[in-house]
Amino acid sequence: MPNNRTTSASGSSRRHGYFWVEAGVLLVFWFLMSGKFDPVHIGLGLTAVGIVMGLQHRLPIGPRDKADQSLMAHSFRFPLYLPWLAVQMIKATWQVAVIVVSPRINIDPCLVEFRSIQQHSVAHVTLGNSITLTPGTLTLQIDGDRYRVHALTSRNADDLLEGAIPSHVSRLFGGSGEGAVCEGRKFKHEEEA
Amino acid sequence: MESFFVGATVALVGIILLPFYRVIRGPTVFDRLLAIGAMGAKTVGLVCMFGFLYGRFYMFADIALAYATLNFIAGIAVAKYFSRERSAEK
Amino acid sequence: MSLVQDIVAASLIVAGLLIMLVGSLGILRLPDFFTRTHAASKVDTTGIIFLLAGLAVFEGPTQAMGKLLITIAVIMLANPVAVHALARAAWNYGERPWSNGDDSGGRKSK
Repeated sequence: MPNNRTTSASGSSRRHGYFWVEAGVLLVFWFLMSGKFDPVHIGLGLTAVGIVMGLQHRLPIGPRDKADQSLMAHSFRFPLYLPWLAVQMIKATWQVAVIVVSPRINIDPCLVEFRSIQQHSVAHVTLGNSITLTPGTLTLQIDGDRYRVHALTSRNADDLLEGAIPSHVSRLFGGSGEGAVCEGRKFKHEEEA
Repeated sequence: MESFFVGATVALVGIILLPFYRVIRGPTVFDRLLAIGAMGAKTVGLVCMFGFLYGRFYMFADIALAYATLNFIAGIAVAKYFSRERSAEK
Repeated sequence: MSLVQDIVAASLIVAGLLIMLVGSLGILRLPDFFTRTHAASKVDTTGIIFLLAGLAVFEGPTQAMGKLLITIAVIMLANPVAVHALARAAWNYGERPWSNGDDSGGRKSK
């Protein structure tokens, strides 16, 4: 499991530089929100950032191992992902709109289970969110690398199992796209047992 | 443009009130929670529209952002509560 | 310029309202909880993004527009996650999806 890494002493010293990065990000956010640059507001901002950093400096923020560093190296590609996601969202909305507005609701819900190999837990989160926003599929559970997905129509389930979305996310985070969907199966809940 | 915003806001209020039927009629508790979450998400848009109507959008933008965050945290908290409920039964 | 801006903003807002109307109708019309989550996650997120983008176009490049863009980013991340959390809680609680063959009207608790 990727999330039971323990915080070691060397890890905390490596994170030291990220203290100032994080404080800078918070300060920029403060100025974006306040938009005022007189001494009172700058002082309030510095105080607020100080309080927040004092409260949460023990939280593990910043890279801790190889996987985290590779994640940071690939984070600049994330904006490239948003237009693709926007197109998927509009397609998904159109599909649900057609289903909802038609006088007789024409759906055939089924469930999908599969495993997906991803480089990092953030990639799993991104994949889960993308599955929810792409046409006709909704993430029900993520357990490690096992996904359970609810699909609105049988065709959406097949599209997901073809693996375009998981391998897209995998490549986004620097993976090969290999094994993005494996052990996939489609079923209805009565057949589950 | 003023009258367009008034009309759009009235329409948005109507749209927000529609899922209230689902809140009252259920049938399961999750349907009610989902409808409440959907109403809350749309209310973010309503807050922004009100900001434009009152001509003080710079203030209402902060309220909208805070409302979006609170709605998210409330949804997560409720979901967490129900996950715990069942593990207590076991 | 300003007229073009107004027209783009108004059409984005109207599109957002229509999409949100579809989302509300979906929550009313679809047969069970899990299909309703589809309406609440995808459709509502898209609708709110359209609405806020229309307001951002109307506002023009000011500080308030920056706040609107941050709100859009927060909603785009948070709304699907909140709906997923609720769907996961429902599944763990014992709710099971409706499928074409069964006529329990979508009430398959336990």
